[in-house]
Amino acid sequence: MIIQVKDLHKYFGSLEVLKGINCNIEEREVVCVIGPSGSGKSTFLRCLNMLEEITSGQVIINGHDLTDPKTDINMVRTEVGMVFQRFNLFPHKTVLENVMLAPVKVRRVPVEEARKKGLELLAKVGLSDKADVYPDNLSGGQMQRVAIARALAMNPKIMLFDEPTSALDPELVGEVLAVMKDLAREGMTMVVVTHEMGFAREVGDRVIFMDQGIIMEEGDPEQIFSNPQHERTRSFLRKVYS
Amino acid sequence: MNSGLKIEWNYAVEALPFLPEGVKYTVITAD
Repeated sequence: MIIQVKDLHKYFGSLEVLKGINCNIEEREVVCVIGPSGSGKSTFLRCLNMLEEITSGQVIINGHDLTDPKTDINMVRTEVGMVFQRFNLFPHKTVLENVMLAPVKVRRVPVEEARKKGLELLAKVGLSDKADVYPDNLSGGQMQRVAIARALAMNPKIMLFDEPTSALDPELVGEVLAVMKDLAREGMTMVVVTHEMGFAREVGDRVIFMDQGIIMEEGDPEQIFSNPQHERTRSFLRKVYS
Repeated sequence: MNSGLKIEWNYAVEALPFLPEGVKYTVITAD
């Protein structure tokens, strides 16, 4: 297992947002996390990279227990790429500079080598012609593809996506999902919090339905979407498709 | 004396939380 989550609890003040999550994810698995707003799915994802402090329980990434004080969290994080709803690009750096930043500053990759790899990644996400452009001059879909290329520049073992298409105009969603589908086909381990049920159904190996801070139901996408066992899942899917 | 305005790119840094501290900030100096 590349990700193990054991009895994960998370409080914000007195509010318990995650109420004992248990979950194992295998290498090369694509897991899509769905559920209503406020169900804890983004908090769960952020706990996998310790962007949220874990109140109790364990998160083990590639054998490293994030809750162990002896663990070098930043070292573990270098192998976990993260993509956000709002792109989170550095606005004062060009597209290529955004992609090159971490390999050069963290992995000490020589600049020319990082540039070459950066250009390859931009080609992979279909943005070869935007290398010297600043993020403000890109569409949302283009910015998100840069964010994906930037995350890939560190050669991560795991990619975490937090509603990567939610801030996009509908006509731009497809280009981002296409890049994510390619990654899944290449065998990347992916955890994707998403409202894109079509993507979850088509690309996910497993779908997790979260509600009120717990995993209410999980399983094969076909089973979750065609024959959900729990009434909450049925009710959520009815609303999504209505 | 102008000490400049220190801006932390918090939201951008979340994507690369392992960046060294010095890279997480930029300083804009105003005249």
